Amino acid sequence: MNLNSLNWQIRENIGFLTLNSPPRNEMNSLFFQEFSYIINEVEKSESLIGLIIDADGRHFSSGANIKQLLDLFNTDNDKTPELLQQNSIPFKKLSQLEIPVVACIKGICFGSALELALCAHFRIAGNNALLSFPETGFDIIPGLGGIYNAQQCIGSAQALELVLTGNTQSATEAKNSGLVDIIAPKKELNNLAQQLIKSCTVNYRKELKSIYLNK
Amino acid sequence: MNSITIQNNICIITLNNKPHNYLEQPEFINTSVLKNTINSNNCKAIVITGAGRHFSAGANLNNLKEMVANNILFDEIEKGKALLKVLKKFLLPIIVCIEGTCFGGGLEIALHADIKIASHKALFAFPETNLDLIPGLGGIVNLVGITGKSKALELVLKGDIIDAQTAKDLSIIDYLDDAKKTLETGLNLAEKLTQQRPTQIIKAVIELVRNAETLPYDQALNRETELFCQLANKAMRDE
Repeated sequence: MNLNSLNWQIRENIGFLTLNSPPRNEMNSLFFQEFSYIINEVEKSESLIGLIIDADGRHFSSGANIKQLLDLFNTDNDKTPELLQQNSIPFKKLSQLEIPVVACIKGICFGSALELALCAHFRIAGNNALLSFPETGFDIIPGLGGIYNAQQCIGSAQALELVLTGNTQSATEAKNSGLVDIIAPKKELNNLAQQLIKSCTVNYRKELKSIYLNK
Repeated sequence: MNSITIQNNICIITLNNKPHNYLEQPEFINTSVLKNTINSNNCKAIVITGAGRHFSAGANLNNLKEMVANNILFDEIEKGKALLKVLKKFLLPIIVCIEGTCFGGGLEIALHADIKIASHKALFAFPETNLDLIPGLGGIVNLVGITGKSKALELVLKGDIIDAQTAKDLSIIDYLDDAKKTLETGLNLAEKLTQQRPTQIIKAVIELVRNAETLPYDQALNRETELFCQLANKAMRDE
């Protein structure tokens, strides 16, 4: 597949998936197609030991294009558009991968981008990171597992506040709430992510499996 | 007497039987009055608090004995459980504001909330087993969901009193606050969470956050997609 919105590389058995349409790295339908393709490749791979998701430019991503998203909806019925169903599949696969998945977040990480980051198993944020779910301000909600994963990550009380207020969290606030695991200068994010992956043992797969089997 | 008041679309339930706010019966507020009040006032959040210095020291033991003697204990507890179920069914954020003692039935009510705010001087306990009883309003089930099995066993079987910081460390409490400030904080938070949001958005978010607590991943996600689509369709129609 020819990739236009993403960059995909494998070095030392680590997959590097880079959102590659700066400055916003918007998650449009092209992104979802390409992202789905890569996640399927990762799922099939037997040699990868980890996956790092980051972005080119100053920001992680501004999330989905709300206009494009709402245009999927037929105003006559409440049926789920097929495209939306398709979009949610790679997100789910990502969270269930048996290798460590690390999201490196710098600058803006809003809406579906935060949903993507929450599907990763670890979140490392640059000092300038800003995270939010602005959806409820548009009278919609996060729809790609964001509420579920936020509750699992930071508990009900804080998840409610994050989603209902739409307030933006700085890197420090996100570290305190538990939304991100580590903060670091943004130039070091990728190196840290590699170290983190290399420090995960073979047991990681087993432990991760037991977490999901218990749910 | 326990009361229901409305302030800026927020329903405030006050446990009022001073000084300890003992619960005279498991159905601590009349269920149908609560339903009517919330529905007719377009409430967007529910705040539960205690009058005076304490949240509640739990059930009135003499009343319990009397219920046993009159052979109505089971029915009375069922009514209490039904009330707690109704509280959750509104799909509105439930915030509890805890000062002083929060024991037994009081703690069981508190564990039903989505957001638990406590004064740093608050005290928590399930003392029931000291009296050869057990928590009977879902306390054990909810506690296990929050603290895990081993800590829940310890709290229930030992019946020891724990302080607010310990309760926070165990996630029984979400936020610690200054003494005598919890109600104000709770009301401000209720306002902040709900003031600019239509009721259907609040309900969807509450339902999904609660689903994440209890449902398996796939089931919770399917419901998220379903609600997302309903709301997106509505947003399109309203455009």
